[in-house]
Amino acid sequence: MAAIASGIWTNLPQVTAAPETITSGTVPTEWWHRRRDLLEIRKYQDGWNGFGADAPDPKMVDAAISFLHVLERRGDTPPMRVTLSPDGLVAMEWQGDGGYWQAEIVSEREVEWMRVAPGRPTEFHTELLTLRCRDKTPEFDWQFDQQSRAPGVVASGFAY
Amino acid sequence: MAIRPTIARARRSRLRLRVLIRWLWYFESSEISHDEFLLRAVPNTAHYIEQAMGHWTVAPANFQPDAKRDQDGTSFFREDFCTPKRVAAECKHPAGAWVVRLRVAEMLGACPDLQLDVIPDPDLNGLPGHAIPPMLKYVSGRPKAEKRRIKDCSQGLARLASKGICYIPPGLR
Repeated sequence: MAAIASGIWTNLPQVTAAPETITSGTVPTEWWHRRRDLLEIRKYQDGWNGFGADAPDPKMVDAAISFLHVLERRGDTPPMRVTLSPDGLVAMEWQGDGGYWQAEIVSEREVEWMRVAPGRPTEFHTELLTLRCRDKTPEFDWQFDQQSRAPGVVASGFAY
Repeated sequence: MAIRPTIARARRSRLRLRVLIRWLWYFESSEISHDEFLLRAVPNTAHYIEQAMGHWTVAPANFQPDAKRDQDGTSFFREDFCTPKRVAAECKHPAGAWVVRLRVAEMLGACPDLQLDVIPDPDLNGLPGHAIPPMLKYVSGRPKAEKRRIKDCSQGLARLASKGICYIPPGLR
């Protein structure tokens, strides 16, 4: 448990392919691309997947955009792909070192992490979605239990 | 005397070397063997196909049950009855679809916690060889543990599918 609490869920793999520059003001970053992907998903209409799936709920996509900001603020690796499942859930994905990470926004306030590592059973955990832009450490639901903090608090001055 | 498939047996398989011996008695209602291959379309979008994702080039979301279509199980098509090209054409995504090919035995092995099984589900109004894993049907309000098993199964299937891309939309080859 201590290992998980120390941040195992956010020890995402380093991107091995050369990422686009993050420092230039003119070249889009990976974060920018993922935000653009999410904004594109937000515009999807019914039948977006060619099989008649319902359009995504804009609130869920907004929650995903918020979570993307949280990841960026706490210094995580940008997701390598964002996906939308046929039942309207947005997920962010990473892969590396033979492993796979997925963060699925299961509600406006909850993210479910799935970690697949070679030779180990798949692990799951939930993280409450908050917008505390100064925090560098993840906030998991068990930590909320211990600290009695209200989830979903938006830090002042946070904007996207 | 001509042998006609009954409604119960539905359509006969494609005539291929693989099924030559049993072709006369091989209908889409026939039991699915573990050495068969199943096909599934993947919409041609970066959200579902992304080379940078390596072993998970095909997104696990592609195997998650759809609330509208998958009330009885996620749709697959038996390669013995249907070609990848026809499966791709069935997807109405404007950018077309890729098609992945999965061996049944490997599919079952990819989902050890789910006791996955694949059964024939002929649909005479659709493509021949329709098959479903009933465990991958859409159920509203599933318990969290069950949802997690399905998610894990989906990523296992996505990993298999990423090794078995068998049809690429024209223009992307």
